[in-house]
Amino acid sequence: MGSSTLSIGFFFAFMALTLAITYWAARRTRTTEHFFAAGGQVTPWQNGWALAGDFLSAAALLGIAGIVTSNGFDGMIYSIGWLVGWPIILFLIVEPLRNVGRFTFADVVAYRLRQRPVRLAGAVGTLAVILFYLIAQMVATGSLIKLLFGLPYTWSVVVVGSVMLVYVLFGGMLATTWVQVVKAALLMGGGILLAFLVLTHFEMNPLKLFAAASEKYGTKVLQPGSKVVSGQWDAISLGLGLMFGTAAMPHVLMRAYTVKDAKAARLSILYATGLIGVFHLMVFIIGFGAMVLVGADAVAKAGGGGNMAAPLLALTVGGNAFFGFICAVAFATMLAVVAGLTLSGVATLCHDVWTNVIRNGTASEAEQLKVARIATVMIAIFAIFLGIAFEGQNVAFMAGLAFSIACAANFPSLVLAITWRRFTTPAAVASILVGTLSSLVLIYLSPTIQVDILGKPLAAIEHQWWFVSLRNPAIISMPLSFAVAILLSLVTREKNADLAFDEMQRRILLGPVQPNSSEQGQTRSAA
Amino acid sequence: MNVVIPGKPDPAPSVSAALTKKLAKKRLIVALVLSAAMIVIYFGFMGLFAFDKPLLGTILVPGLSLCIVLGPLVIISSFALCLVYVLWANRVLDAGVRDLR
Repeated sequence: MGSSTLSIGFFFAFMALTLAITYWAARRTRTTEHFFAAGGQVTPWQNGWALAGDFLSAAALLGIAGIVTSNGFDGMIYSIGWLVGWPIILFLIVEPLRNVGRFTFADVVAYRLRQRPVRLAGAVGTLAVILFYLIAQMVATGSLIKLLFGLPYTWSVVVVGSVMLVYVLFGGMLATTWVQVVKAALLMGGGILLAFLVLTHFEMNPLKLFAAASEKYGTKVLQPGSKVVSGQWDAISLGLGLMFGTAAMPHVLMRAYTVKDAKAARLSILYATGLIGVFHLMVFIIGFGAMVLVGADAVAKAGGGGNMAAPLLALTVGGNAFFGFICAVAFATMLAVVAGLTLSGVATLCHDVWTNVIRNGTASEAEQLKVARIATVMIAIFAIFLGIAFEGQNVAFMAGLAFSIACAANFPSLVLAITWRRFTTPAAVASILVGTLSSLVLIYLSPTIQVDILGKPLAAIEHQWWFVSLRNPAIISMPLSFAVAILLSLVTREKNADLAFDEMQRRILLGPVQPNSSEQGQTRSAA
Repeated sequence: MNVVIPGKPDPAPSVSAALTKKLAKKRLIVALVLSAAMIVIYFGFMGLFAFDKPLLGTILVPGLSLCIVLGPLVIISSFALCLVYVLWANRVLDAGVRDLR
């Protein structure tokens, strides 16, 4: 097929460019500071684009467009949920993170507390998030590439895993940042062009597009329904998970360290919020465009659970070349997201677990870099293996689970560590573990696993004592995690944590720079 | 009464510590107020989505329902709140931090 050749051509162009960047970046990656934080030299604009690249997965383009095409307005619930966490990152998290931490979010949680237990717990929370998100991404990648390019599933997973390995292993954060920037630019460009071409069919007026959709499918497509998100409290719980999960996603938080100071970190979040917001508004147009111009039935028939809405729309409004371009952009998107996830997993394994727990903070630069590279290979192999093992399984819930765990395990401890003097080590450890475990247990007892995965009939289990009707655990697990943290802080006492609080607040404002060594960059002391 | 007690350290560090505390508190208040605004806006919208679908589904003019107005407004207000914070921080917070250094 001509379009397939074209998309493979576009894809190879992307690969050539990003591998050239990796080659360039590899020669500049000599310390852990470079490997994990690109030497702190990324500009706010670059970082804003890279954040958007890190965060906008294939689900944001293909998935949401598909949901909008088949359900109308309801797809926007996800768009909105994935955006509203960004202001929370900006207001509460990014500046303390940048000024207090070094590579991971556990740097900040453990700053006043006992390093080893807190970092170990932080690693559990972070790795759980990354594991589930990575599996969801790898499986989606394998089946989407099979659909878009006709490449067999196993090969798709192997190709994505290997290319991602090359980016991270050799180019570290610098290469990963540029891969994200290139990908985000392609994604935004493709999205804008697609939305623009749709609107040319409707006199550039979105209202005409919506009116055409409601004429064809009824006004229900413009109204909230209950197919995408069922249950009232489930909707609230989903919202909590999306908002506060986004605000505590390890691969997003890690980007706070790639810029030179708190001001740059603040600006990069502002830019990322704008880019992601604009993108989500375009996806809404794209989804409705596919509904009207391609047809909901045609999209459903193309397979992939609605994921073909955007590519098919590209084919309709822009022909073969545009179809190939959008497919290649989707491929690049998946590749970039797994690279960002892997890098944050490596940072946790190397910086938290190896350097600060196993070696008690005394590992040499060379040793840390070596461990980081070994961890990169391990995670890549692990991701490929899991991607293949979960072929054909329903893993859509895993992305939601990752957000729920981030929301319940990482967010409470991070916010309390920054703002509350009385917060103690037992409280931090328990809060992270309770957040992680309760999310896992609640989702296991919910229809998400019991009905969708295990295939039990709802009627048979809904009166069991253990049954949890909520599909999204955040509304229970997040307050639980906060309650455990507050309760344990009140019954335990930690003198050092108390004494270090004022110093930490000072550092949140002023950064780690000592009064006499005013130039930043060289003097970023270890957290 | 400005009685200088011999042996007491220079008062400058404690003055700067007090100013730091003051600025930290100010930053926290701004951050919490803006976060609260975001949470109210978002969960106001999600509350309607969860508990009052008919209201959210009100058709205003052909091709436009209330949710299609409010949804993008939530997105736009997220960015607007970010902009408010960044403008405040660039002007007030950064100036305060410079003075402390």
